[in-house]
Amino acid sequence: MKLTDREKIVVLLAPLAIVLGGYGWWYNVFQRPKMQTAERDYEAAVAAQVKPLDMLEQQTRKKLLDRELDAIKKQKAQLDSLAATAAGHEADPVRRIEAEKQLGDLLRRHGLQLVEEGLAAQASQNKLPGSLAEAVGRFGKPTTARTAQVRRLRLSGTFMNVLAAVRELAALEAPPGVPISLSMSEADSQADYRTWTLLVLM
Amino acid sequence: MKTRCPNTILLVTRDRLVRADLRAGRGKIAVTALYEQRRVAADDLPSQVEAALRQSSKGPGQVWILTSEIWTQSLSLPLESLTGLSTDEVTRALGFEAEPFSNLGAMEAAIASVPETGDGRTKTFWLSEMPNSQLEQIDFVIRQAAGRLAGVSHPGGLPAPFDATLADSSWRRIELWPAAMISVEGKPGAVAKVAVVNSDPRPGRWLNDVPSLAQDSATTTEWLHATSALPVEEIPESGCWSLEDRTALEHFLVTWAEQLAASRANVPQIVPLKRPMSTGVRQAIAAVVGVAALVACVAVQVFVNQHHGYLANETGRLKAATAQVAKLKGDNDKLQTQRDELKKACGQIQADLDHYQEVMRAQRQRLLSLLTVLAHRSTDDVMIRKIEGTENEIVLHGLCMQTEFADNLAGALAAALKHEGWNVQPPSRQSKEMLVGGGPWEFEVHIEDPLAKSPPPAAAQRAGGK
Repeated sequence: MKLTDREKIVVLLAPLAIVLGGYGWWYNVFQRPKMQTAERDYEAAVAAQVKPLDMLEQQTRKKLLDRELDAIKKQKAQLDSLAATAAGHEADPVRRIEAEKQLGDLLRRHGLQLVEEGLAAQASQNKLPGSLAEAVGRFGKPTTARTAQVRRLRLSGTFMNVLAAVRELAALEAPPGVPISLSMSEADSQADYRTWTLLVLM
Repeated sequence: MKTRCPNTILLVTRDRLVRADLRAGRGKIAVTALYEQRRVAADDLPSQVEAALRQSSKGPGQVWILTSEIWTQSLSLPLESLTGLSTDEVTRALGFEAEPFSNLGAMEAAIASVPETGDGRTKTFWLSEMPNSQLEQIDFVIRQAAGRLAGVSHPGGLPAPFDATLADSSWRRIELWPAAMISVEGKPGAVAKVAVVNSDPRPGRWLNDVPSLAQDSATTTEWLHATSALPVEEIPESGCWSLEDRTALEHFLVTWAEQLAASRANVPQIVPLKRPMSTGVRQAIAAVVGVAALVACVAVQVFVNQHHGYLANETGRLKAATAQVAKLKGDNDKLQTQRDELKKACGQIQADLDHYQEVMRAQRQRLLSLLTVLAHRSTDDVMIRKIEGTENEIVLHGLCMQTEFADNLAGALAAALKHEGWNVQPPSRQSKEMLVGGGPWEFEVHIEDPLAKSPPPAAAQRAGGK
């Protein structure tokens, strides 16, 4: 088909100009700002992007910290248990009975006769020594549990009997009790036997 | 000018109207139908064309018209007058030059020309022209017959020998047309020379004009008899072709068709002017172009959208990765803080436990150290009569012969119990005044736990007693 010059303009160029011009206007007004924003965001994201090694480093660090934290928690649980034991909160009644028996055997073995045994019921006798109370108090737990384990023993025997018993108690790796106070009644100066009051922390 | 094989050739002369329907195939062109009739009326050319077309009811397709009714001549122009002129301008200039001979105004004529040779100072052109109005009418007539006008030429001057064996040698053809005698001379590899005499061949005298037509000697001469104004008997028998002969006519038309199809026809070809389109066609083409442009825009927009989506996805992915790393880092920092606090707490508990163990060890050693010192220091000069013990204090009551003995005992106790966390107070003494020196002496030694929170009962009693 042959087209005159005018027809080339009217039929071909005009529709092209109208459509392309319209699209160009629409693109410039509505699309270009969106594209520019998207490109700017993309460039900013690229500039701020993390390296794969960063991610790997943080993941590895998290694993290490988790492992360390688990170990420390276990260690703290053990220490807490030890602290609770030291504060008297994990006393084993069976073990206490056994300890009382061991203590009684020890005293008898050194010639001491047990006259009376019981809890230190008197207010003045059921307290811990200040230094020990301070040490137990550091665990942040009430000291009443420890205080409740102070026993009062009335014994009959000589000074040397008591000295030998106390020496063995001090020498034992796991003594059945810790002596915290000792009283000696006044008696005839010519007699060897005395009455002793021993406060023991079981 | 490029052409292609026409479907139909119309030959319109003063004597006859011929319609030849052609078919091209396998490199050859053949006449499928040939219609011929005598021209009876002295109508104008468009009417004759219409009459020639009507010889067959078949659609003519692309139509080429060969007619001796148009004016043709060769003209020479000085070379200097052609300098800087385009082909169209040269044709228009030739039209002005031909005005006195053709009686056609250059502005009202459809003109076609082809260049020929020159003599060094001039250039010769072969020119054909016809009124624009006739051309438009012919175009209309053919369109009415569902055909399309390809062009109009004078039938004379075909630049090829009718006898194909002469194509490789020099040849000459003298054509006798109504109102024109044309001489065509050809050589292998050269443009054919055409010379035209615009007059009817005069019976009995036309041969006198032939030498003037001949510009070069030729080895072989063909004669074309195409006018009834001249008896065919006047034509030399050797090489004579007469359009009265149907076979010669058919050969003549096929040769023309071959020349047009092969684009070798170096003859003036008047082509119709471009016809403006109808409004509907314009709108349709404009709509198609517009839709095509719209489709292109949509394609571009689809690409833009895809690119935008890609950018958005990539941006989101990068930001998510950055945020993930930042969150991991924050979590790790918290974990590290928690770990440090736990470590510190463990250290504190461990220190408290160590302290507790130390206190317990001292506690276990206190009474032993006390009794050990008493065992060594208790002699006849120093006698322990009574021991009062509480959790925080132990008070020794005793007798000694001299005061320094009590001091010595207190000193020994202080030295021994210092490591066990007990403080030994200086002894208090009271004379019994039974001996010369004041002795014996009653004494008290107070041994206290320094961390006792409240004053021991004995100390409280002492304070109250004072």
